[in-house]
Amino acid sequence: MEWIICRSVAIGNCASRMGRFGNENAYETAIDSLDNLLKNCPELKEKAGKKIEELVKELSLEAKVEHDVKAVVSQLDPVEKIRKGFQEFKAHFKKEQTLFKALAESQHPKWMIIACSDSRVDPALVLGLGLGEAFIVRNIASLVPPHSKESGHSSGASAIEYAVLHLKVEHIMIVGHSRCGGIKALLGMKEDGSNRFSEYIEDWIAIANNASKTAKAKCSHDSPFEDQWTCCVKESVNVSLWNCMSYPFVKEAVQQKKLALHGAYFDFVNGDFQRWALNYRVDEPESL
Amino acid sequence: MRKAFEEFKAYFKKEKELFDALAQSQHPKWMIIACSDSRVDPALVLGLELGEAFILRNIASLIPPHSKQSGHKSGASAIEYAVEHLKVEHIMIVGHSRCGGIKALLEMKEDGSNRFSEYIEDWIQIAQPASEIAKAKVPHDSPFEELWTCCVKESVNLSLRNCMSYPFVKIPMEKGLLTLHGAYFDFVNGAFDVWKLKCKIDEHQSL
Repeated sequence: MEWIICRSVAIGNCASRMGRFGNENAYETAIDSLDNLLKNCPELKEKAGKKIEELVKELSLEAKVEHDVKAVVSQLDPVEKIRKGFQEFKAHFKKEQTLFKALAESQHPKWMIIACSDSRVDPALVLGLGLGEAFIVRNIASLVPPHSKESGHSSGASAIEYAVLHLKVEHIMIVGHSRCGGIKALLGMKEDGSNRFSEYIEDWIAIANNASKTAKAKCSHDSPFEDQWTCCVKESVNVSLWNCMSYPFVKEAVQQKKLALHGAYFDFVNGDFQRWALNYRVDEPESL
Repeated sequence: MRKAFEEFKAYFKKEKELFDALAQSQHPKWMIIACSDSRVDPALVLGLELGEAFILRNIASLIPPHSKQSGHKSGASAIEYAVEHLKVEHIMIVGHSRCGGIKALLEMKEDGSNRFSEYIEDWIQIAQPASEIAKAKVPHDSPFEELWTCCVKESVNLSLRNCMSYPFVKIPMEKGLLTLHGAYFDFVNGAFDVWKLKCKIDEHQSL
């Protein structure tokens, strides 16, 4: 399949927001530090004033954007909204009885899709998938950890095993997207962990560490952050694709041509969707 | 898929105001945890639009309890992000009819003698307590479907309680800033039941 080539723009502020419980203390601590500094170095007051002005402008913009989104997205009570939504589905359910009777017995999706949990990237809505068509995993930044014998819950591994060996899907597609907060946080992570902001999030997104290193090497220091961000999202998709291949049951199915792996990038800024295939081939050995 | 994306693109062009806003940031009110099963897409079943719900999907919509143990934490990281950063107001965990994961759970032998997978059983055994509760609740001679349905609902309740084991969930819940809901989607009969998880600790009384 050929797809429209996407262009990428990426700004975002999700991952950098302070948590509910940390923000008040962090603010007070920061203000105290600034106060102390300016008492000792009053000559810095003018510079500090200018920086504070910039910060106020930035935060005002953020507050305005949040207000705009809330003004545009539905203002119905959330529970009422899903009640109405389900009533519409129920009408569809009654009409399509043949389909739903078949689905009630079993599922035979041809696709497994791994997408980000981001509310703006629902694969069913974006790709027009109907019920029964795709087995879908969603997590932060659509990551797949590598095959590992270590114990510990593996939601991704179990889902891929089920999809490949039991549902026998024919395609796995991993979808990255523009303005991914998880990838932005990854790019901002300091190696010594000194700017850690979460209990679990950084450990999760560290799965894509190599993508961050690759993106930083590929993009020159003076390119806009958006370029590095987009590059890192796509590299992260590739890391997850290779991690998929580290599962013997995936590798075997790919080699037997029963399964195809695809990467994808959904750009909701420009309304584009780009897809690429993972081509894996091991040639016959040749005698020297 | 290409055709469907063309339709999306037309919709995208039409709803410019919405997508300009969404391109800047997301403010979903919901976090929904649903099964990866192809028949239970929450957006399609509940008529959700882009921007409305932050969605986590895995086998049997399970949430493991809070734990300091190392290991990948896809569920914990997603909940932390949704509650602390996106500040969602509602979390809903959706179980469903004919869940293959829960069926496998019910059929698992304690000694592991009928193990059939590398990863699946280790994942679904998160819901082991729900299996025990369901087997205790449902009479032995009832049809398997009854036990199956009961176990799915108990698994949802277990995952809700596991959600509450995360301090960053419990604290906003106690402040009334976050509501937890369980749900059961029955695609055999076309029904969707929801229930709230309420947790109240009374004032301490001196004896």
